Amino acid sequence: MNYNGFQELAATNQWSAIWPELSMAGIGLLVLCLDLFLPSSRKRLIPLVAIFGQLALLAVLVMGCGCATESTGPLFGGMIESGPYTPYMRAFFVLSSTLVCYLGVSYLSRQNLPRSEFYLLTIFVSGAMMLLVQSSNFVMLFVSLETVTIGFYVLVSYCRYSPFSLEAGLKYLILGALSSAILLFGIVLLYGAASNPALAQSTTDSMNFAALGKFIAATPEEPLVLVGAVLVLCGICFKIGAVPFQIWVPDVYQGAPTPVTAFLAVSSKAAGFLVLMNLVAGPFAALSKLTVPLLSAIAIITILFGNITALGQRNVKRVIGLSGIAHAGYLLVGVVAMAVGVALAPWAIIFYLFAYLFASFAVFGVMVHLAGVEDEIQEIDHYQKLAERQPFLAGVLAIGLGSLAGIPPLAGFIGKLLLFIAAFQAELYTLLGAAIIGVVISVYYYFGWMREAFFIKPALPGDEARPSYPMPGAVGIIHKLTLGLLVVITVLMGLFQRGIFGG
Amino acid sequence: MPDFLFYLFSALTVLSAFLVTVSRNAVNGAMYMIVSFVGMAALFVLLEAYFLAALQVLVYAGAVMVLFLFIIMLLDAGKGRTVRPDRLTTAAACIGGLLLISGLIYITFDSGAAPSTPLPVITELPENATATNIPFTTSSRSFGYGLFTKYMLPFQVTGFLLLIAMIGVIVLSKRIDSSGDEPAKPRIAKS
Amino acid sequence: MPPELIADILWKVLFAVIFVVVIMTFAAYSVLAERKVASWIQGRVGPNRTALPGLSAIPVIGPHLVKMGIWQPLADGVKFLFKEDPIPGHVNKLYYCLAPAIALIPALTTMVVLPVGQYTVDGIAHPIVLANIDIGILFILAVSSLGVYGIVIGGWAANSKYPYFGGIRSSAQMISYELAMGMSILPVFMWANGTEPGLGGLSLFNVVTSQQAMWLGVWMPVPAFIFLTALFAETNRLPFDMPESETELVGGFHTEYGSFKFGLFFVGEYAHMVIGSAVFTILFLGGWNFLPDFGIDGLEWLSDPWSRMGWFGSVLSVLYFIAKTMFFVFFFMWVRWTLPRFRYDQVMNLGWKYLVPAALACIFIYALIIGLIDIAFAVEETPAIVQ
Repeated sequence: MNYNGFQELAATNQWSAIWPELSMAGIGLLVLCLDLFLPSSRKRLIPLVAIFGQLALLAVLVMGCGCATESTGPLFGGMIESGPYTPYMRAFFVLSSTLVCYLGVSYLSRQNLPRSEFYLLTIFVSGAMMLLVQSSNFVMLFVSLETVTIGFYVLVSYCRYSPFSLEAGLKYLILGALSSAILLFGIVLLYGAASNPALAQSTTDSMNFAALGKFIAATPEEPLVLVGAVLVLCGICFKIGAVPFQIWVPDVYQGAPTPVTAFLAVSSKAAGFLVLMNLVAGPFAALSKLTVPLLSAIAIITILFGNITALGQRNVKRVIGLSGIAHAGYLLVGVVAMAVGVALAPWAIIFYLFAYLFASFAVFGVMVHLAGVEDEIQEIDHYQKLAERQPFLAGVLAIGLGSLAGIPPLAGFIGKLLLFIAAFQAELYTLLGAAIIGVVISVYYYFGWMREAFFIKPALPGDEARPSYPMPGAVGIIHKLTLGLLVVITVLMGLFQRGIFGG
Repeated sequence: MPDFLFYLFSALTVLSAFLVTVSRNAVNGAMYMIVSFVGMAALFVLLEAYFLAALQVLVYAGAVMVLFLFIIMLLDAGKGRTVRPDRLTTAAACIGGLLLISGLIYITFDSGAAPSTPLPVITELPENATATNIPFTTSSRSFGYGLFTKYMLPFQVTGFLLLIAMIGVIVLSKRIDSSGDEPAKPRIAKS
Repeated sequence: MPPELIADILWKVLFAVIFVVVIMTFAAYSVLAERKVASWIQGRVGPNRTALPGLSAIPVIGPHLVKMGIWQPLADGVKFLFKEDPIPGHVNKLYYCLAPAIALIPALTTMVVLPVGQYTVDGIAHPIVLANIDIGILFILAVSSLGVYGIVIGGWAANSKYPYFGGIRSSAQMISYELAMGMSILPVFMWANGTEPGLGGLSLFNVVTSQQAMWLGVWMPVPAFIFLTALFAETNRLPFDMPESETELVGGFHTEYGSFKFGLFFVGEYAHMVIGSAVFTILFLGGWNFLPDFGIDGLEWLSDPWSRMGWFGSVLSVLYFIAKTMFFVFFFMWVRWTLPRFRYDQVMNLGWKYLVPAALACIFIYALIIGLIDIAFAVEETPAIVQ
């Protein structure tokens, strides 16, 4: 027998090309082994290893961002393919994972829960996300997506003696499984259609994005392809929390431990969008007649739904969750612009994601510091007079929320501006209108939160009956430094965005 | 003959899968699920995918469902109270499902759609496989070569998936004592 | 349907009936053997007076035939068949009646892929088997893993405390030991596929032919031991008969069963045992190979004398295989009347903390050894695809 074909296939398994993902796996395994072998008095080392290991990786990645941006072509037999924005997204996920671990330290210090598993699950899930956004084959996409999702099932219900957390975990499990099933069904339909030798450009490798793209370009009218594409897009929309698949978001965001909420809001959403971008620009590029109106409709409803429902919320985690739906809507505008073919759109999305990362983690940092043992019950009322008692935290909160709301000159403003420019170039005026209305609405609830922190309400009769919330102690120096850094970057990204991506 | 068997086992699989969703008693549901899995394995056999068929029975019918039954029996979940979904949801789900099914049936049997083409059965590995061309063969050896060449990366990621699942189960179920790091000693009744 | 197809199907049915009859006979006589072995170990006589009418009248050998008790299984069977078969009022009738069948059918189905000997056509050896499929061992593992449902469902349907415990114990035990069992045979198939190029897959015939130089039980003693232990657990034999331990659970899962349904459970257990012994013989004891020939040229007649004797050799190979299998059936009984029963937590500990890690270690070690042999002897056609 002749095995040359397999040898050639094996030659594309270049493990060196995915060294950042391997390093993440390595850090995770190191944490696992340390947890097993270290005596319990030395267990404090574990979060340090997790955080500094990822920081070192991040430093190497950031240094590499500038020089190596050429794509290496398909690797691992066409399983993954790194694109022009892969280096940035790797840095994004490592940074986000580091910050989640950092928030996890202060969260876990208040809870009686297993420690090191939190870090290693976060790290493994981030590594899987890094592979997910590079995958160029539905097998790889599904496997890494499931790795991410199963990690999140555990992380969301991590605080297992809290009924909120368990409820959130169960809801996420059931709805996540449903969305995986929808996605899988779509993949199967596409696979079946593309493998049919009776159709033009049919392929035996029909899970591969490139081969599938060719097939779809040749037969864009095939009904099975259309149904399959819609189901795949629905499955992904579930992960990014777009309407009508948003139903899990508020409960899961509230019930999950706050660091995990941040992880969901930032990393999970970003991964979903990157996958969506890969699909829309890759195999579904020829289906823009279908994807553009479909995603536009979803984007409009998502923006309006997220913003309007966030108006009446008093629980800050639900506010973040519902406003996160709205942010998903803005990002969908960018994806639609990308489907139309605007070159600016992918970079606008990535800039927006980075701005969202820094602003969100600033806000989550404040939330973690202010939260008590009952992590799920964080009402806006808790932020009363924050500016008097903790002026630093109030400032961080103001800049973070301002950036999320899109106030100039912060990073969030530039992000939204770039997205809107992309939408304008794509001539998506209806979408643009809906997005601007959404931004105006969002200012109301973000500023309502800020007002609670900064402005002392006139004492009304009956106010004395309100319980006063105990303020936690002073902010540590490390916490100050980290939050300060996030804020500074948010401001700098708003002022000097040209230098960051080289235009 | 194979056509007749195909329709027989498809009907068995679909019917028992449907019964899983409507059966009130959890044990009945689990039993229907086993029947559904075995029917699926029979369909794999008809496709000459013996390896997949054996794995389907071994893993799902033989191991996973035993665990399901174990849990159902241990929790005595058969006697739980039943929650009736509200009418609107049921109606919407039924209509949506029927629309999807009828649409797919229409597409499949519509004369305008592409005709289905039987694929050749290959019993041994191809002489020269390339990245775009590993045809399906009936030999179990071809699964090994596929897994360790083309599907190497997803295969390894699956390993991590299982590790995450395992760690997750342990995290969510082990006892915690006051320090949060060490599991409490199991309490052994002194007699 | 064309007549050839009908004839083909009829032949298959005939062979299948022969196999079932042989296996069932063995299962029935294993019951007798069990009683005889038990009485021998305990210094008793055992069944010694069941006889057909007039048998003892035969001069000289008549009384001896009676003393051997070889008619006992017949009497047992008749009793099981004709006893009243009451169904208790509190059971779930459908599952109660289904369970014994579920227990027996998988045990009988596994024999489809079980090779029992070989015949030679034009110098090429072929297995005597109903269906020589590529995935023989997987088929056996898959189908026999369904047998547990008979016990679980039987215990549950009886709707009574002790059968219920039996069913739950059984499901936990099966899952624990199936894992170790599946992993312990991986080295066998690595060996069977690794050194001899050209042969492939998971077929059992391939395993037997790869053992001509050396029986695998000799140089893979640890996997053999793990497999044997798991086999005891899977067949619910003592020291692992948790599902029916009579001192704790009355009769375990079959407490509420009587007459023919109980008989089915009973025969099913022995059929499992016979088939399990046959599989062990194939995997680790060289199947129908006469003796190992140590890979020496000119000694092939030692491992495979059957191919030189025509049809008579085929019959001898089957008989030799049956003899080896019977030895293992005897071994099962020997262990049963020698070892005490484990406690339930000991069963779980043994399965998860010792057998599974040991099986895992075996996979690594034998993979290394087989890889080194491949490199050292430069097996040319073995593809080195991993860089």
